[in-house]
Amino acid sequence: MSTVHTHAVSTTEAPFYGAEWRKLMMWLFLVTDALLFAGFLGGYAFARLASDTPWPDREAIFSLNFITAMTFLLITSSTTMASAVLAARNRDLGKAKLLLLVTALMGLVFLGMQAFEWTHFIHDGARLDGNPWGVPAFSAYFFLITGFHGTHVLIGVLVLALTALRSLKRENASEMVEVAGLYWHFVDLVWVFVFGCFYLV
Amino acid sequence: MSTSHASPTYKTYWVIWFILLTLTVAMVFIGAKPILIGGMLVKASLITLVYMHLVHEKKNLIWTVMLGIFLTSAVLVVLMIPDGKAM
Repeated sequence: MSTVHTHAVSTTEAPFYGAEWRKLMMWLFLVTDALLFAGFLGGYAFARLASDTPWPDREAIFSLNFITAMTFLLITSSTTMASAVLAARNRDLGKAKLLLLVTALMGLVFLGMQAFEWTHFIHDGARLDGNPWGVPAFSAYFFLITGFHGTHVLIGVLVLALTALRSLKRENASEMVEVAGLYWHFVDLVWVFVFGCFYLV
Repeated sequence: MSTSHASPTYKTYWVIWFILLTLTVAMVFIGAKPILIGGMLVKASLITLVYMHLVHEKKNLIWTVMLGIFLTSAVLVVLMIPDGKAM
């Protein structure tokens, strides 16, 4: 036993938090990223309250069933992601890989559905600077918020694919899966608020 | 890794999945504002606490995350909502 290194901590452990540093960094990043979306939704609330013309009826413009299906898909992908983290922790790497790829696939389908929705919306005349419903801020915020969220989903799909194909081979596979999982759950978390604030309220 | 709480199992995650779906359906079909806002907050809490294991983390981490998000969100709401209403 070495007396010199009595107080040394493992490189993957931060003494203050007792959490792995990658996980800690991801959490801090997610806090700042959450504030980005909080800003968007706050701006959206402001624009909507300050609008002179009544806010367009979302149910008449979007298919709420379709958006609900997208929500189901993202929630289900979050569940398979949580299961992947558990499988990696149990060193069941084959199962973790399968669950990660299934999660990424659901993310891809979600993106496809979003592309479909955007196409329809643009076809109906919605633009960044105006739309047929007479409230330019409505479509501007739609493209801004769902666009930023969709970009997060796209990055998430890439992260999941990389984790499944590369990180699982590493010594710290379970930590890598957990960090990727935190990001993916965050994407789902943001959608909870986008879905609620933009489509339902 | 904390073992002070019962470790979640696959079953835990699918039970949460069912609750999240039920809440979503309730939000879509009962469009009342309190249900919508309550539903969003409950769903967000379930995802962070169970799926992201925040409930198993060290207290310092929980406080850092919660204070960061709630304090700034509260400031946003307090500053922007009344201004929007006044326009």
